[in-house]
Amino acid sequence: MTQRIVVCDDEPHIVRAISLKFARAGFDVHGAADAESCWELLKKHPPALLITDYTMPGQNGAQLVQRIRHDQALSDLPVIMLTARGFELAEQSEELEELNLSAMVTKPFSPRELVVKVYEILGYEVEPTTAAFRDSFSSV
Amino acid sequence: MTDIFDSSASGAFDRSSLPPETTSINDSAVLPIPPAHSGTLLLPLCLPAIAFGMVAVVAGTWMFHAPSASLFTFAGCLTGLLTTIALFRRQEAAAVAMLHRPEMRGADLDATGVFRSLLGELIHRAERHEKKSRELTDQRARLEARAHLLKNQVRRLAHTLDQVEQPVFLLDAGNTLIFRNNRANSLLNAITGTDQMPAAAAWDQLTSVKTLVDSVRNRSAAADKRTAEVELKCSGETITYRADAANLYDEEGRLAGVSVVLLDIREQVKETAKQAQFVSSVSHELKTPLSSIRAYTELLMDDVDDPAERLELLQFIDEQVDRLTRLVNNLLNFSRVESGVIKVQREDTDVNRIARKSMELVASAAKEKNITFVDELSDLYLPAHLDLDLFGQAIINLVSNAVKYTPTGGEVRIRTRMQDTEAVIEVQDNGMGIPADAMPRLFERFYRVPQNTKAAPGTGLGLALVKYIVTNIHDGSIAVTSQVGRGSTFSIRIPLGHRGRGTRNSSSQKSAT
Repeated sequence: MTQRIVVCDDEPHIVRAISLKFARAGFDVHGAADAESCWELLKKHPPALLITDYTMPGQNGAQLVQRIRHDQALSDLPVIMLTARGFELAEQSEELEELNLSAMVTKPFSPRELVVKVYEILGYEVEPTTAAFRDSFSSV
Repeated sequence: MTDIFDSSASGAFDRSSLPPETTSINDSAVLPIPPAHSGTLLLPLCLPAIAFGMVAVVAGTWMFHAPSASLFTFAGCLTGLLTTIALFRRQEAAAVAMLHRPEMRGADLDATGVFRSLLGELIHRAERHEKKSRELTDQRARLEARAHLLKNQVRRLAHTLDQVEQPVFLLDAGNTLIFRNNRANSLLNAITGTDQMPAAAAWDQLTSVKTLVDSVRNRSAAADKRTAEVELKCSGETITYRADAANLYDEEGRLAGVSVVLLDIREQVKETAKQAQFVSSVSHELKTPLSSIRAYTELLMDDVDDPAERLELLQFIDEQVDRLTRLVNNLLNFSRVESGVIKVQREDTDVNRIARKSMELVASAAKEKNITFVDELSDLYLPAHLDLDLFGQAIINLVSNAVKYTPTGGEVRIRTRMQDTEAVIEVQDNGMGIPADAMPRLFERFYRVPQNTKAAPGTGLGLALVKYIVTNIHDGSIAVTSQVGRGSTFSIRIPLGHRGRGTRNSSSQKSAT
């Protein structure tokens, strides 16, 4: 069965690149440009996993995930957070810990490695060739 | 200067700066000389002598039947006695005079006859007392002079501290507030909301500062200074101060008090926050296009085989490289502005040419948001003497800001015209606009309109750079009108005219922001 993934980023190129990559990997990918439209997508049809950016106009990624965690239907949704931020996130680590993220991926990232990460999170068998990329991820 | 010392405490302050006073200077200054009682002293001697003489005359007359001889003898005795008394009186007077008047002491002591040894002792004592008295008088004068000097010094120091912009407090060893400068007074008044409250009571409300004072008071001399950030509520506003507390010692090294100096660090706190925000923004701004480039490159390597799709991705990558280049240019230009040395290469050109070029460079970003560019460039040739790179950067910044802060489907107009001796370039959008309270700070470096930060990423450098390029490098001016929800218009004015025909002038300009 094709699994549904939602990608949320205000940068259309990122959404497009991730969508392209995951479509090739056999996922059903839906993109959103901000937290509000992403929430609509999630509510309408809960996906298997969400990939969201941290810094976005309006609601940011953390606020979106908080909302997800408080929603009965979505509270267990695996979330990968993308971020172009660096050291300043350390100051908010406690807040991020509460979000129960599956992974935190810093930009610029490799779509290839992102697919491996999603495979892992969703419990797929990872091909040996791609497994080597796992180490370069920074997980929370 | 107002009376800066508490009347109750000033005594403590003054005394602590002076050596301990010696008491009873007055008491020992005057020699205790008993008054002369020679008459009363001699009377008891005389009366028995006269009585004895009379008894002797009566007895002599009765025994020897020679009353005249007896009378003569009695008279002789009486004369001798009176002469002796007179002599004693003279000697006593001389002794008393010598005792009273030191200048007479050099004279012959023999004149004092029987009082000689007594007088010697008395003079010895008197001289000792007199010497001590003189010393004490001198000491008193010295101390009074010193006290006067110290009081003046304290007054001058207090006056100097009143000129200091920072609140200064001084506490004595017993933790009593003994001094505060004008600023400290104003602060206490602002905190308590009244100028009627006694200073000590007002000071009690500064609990965070008092905690700092207590902590430094208990410290060893090696680490007797402490600094803390404290927040004080003044007239409804919370102000962050840096409080420096230090122990003060007397000459013997005993704790004499604690000084507290407060520094208003609101601006520093804001500046630090702005810098942190800037670093965070730059990091975000650099990494976002890099992410797209990396993602597309990987897709081109792994997944995309279709030539048309490959070309499209390559175009995206190209755009992202442009975006990165613009950002890096902004950063580099800004650091050139910051460092104060700018190599300006001005040349004769047409203002329309720069406006057109800038629109081209921002066109793809506008297209992404479906924003229409309306070209209202003047048909006239608008001659100006400009640095193409720097002036171009300024116009690009304005146009790209207009695109950034205008919602999808909006409109951005670029207008040029000739007005008197100036060329005017206007960039108008129908975007979110700028609130009036943000206007004064709009061109500050790192400043970003708080209400609009979430709308688009940015570094807060763009407009600061525009202003610098226009006003400092091109002798122009920049103005902005805006209405929230309606849009903004930025107008740049620069002097019209060419400087030379076909020559590219180079000039170096040293400037500071």
